[in-house]
Amino acid sequence: MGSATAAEVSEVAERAPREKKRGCFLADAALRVLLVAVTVASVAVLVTSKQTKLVQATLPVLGTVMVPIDAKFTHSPAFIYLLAAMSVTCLYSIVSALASLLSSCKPAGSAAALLTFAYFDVLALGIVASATGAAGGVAYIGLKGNKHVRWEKICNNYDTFCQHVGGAIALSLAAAVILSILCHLSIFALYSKLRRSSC
Amino acid sequence: MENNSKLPKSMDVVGTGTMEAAISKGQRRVHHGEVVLRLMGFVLTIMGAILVGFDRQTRTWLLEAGANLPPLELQITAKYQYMSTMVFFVIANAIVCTYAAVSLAFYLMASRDGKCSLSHVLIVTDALIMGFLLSADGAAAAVGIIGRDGNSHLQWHRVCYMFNKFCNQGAAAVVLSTLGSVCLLLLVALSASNLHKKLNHSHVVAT
Repeated sequence: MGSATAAEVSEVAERAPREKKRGCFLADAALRVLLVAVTVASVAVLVTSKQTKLVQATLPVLGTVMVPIDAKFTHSPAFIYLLAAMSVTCLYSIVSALASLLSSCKPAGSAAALLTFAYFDVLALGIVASATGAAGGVAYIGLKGNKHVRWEKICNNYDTFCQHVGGAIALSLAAAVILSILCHLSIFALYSKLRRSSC
Repeated sequence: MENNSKLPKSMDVVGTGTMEAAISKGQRRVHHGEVVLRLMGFVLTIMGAILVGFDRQTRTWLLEAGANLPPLELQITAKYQYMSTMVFFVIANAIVCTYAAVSLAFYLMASRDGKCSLSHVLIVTDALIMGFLLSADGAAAAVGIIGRDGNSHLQWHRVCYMFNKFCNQGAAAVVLSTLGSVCLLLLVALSASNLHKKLNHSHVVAT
């Protein structure tokens, strides 16, 4: 008797905010799909950033010759880290998009799912933010140079390469923003559940 | 209809006493963990900011000018202001340590008043601040690695073999600041799991 009435009550309490909750879950799933797209685009743009230029060089026997020199993202560990971080985030976002779609079909026992999402979203946010910072720091020196330590800028020579790297960094920044919104959504859903039941 | 509108009230009356006790107990336990993590975040980031902010090293080299002339003195100072990444690192650490102090004060005030809404806001801002600090750490570490090893592809030569003390102090600051951001990460995880625990408990009490 007691459990039956309690179920009835909880059903009444759930009915009103169900629409809102469904909307929340849809936004969550849509953002995760968007995150997949952004990370895939970032990886693609970074991988295709190779540029070859002919540079004048003076060799002892041959005299002045034109030597082709590559600019690749593998030349800097920061860009390799960015690639690894974006790949990991891409995999995570695929898995979490599937999980989010599955859990939106049965929103009853989703508090644990929300908590798990919040944990992993924050972790992914940390990884993406540090990778963005690292790549951005190196790319800034590549763009402006640093005369104190005599690190010459390279973006005046390798313009396409720099545009690709800049695009990848901008996309990873977008991924970080999306992840922070996702984190906010998970926490907010947990909190609104709590407010509905107590607080 | 009557039944439905009445029942939640009676359940509230039954549930309130035990639930409040449980929540206040739960808050007190989390209280320590959150306060300690916030304090650690504050200390670690302020140490990171101070270590880089006061990081400078001056070295003098003697250059042979000629057979009859006295040697020339060449004095070079390494400062963090020369590298924009390091400036970003110092500013980010200063902002985060200010945030840690302010949020600790807010947290203590809110837990004394028993406000629930503030903890939700704090979790989200904690996550944002953690991302900000980690991006500064990543940038400083990436540029520091180029300073230590150089990059032969880009013709960026290493500089740390000349300024050992400067570089070691910078590396220590980056490590401390990264530990600070790990504290913030744990803080977010702790407060989220606490929210979940409260939710579970209130469900148990309600049913």
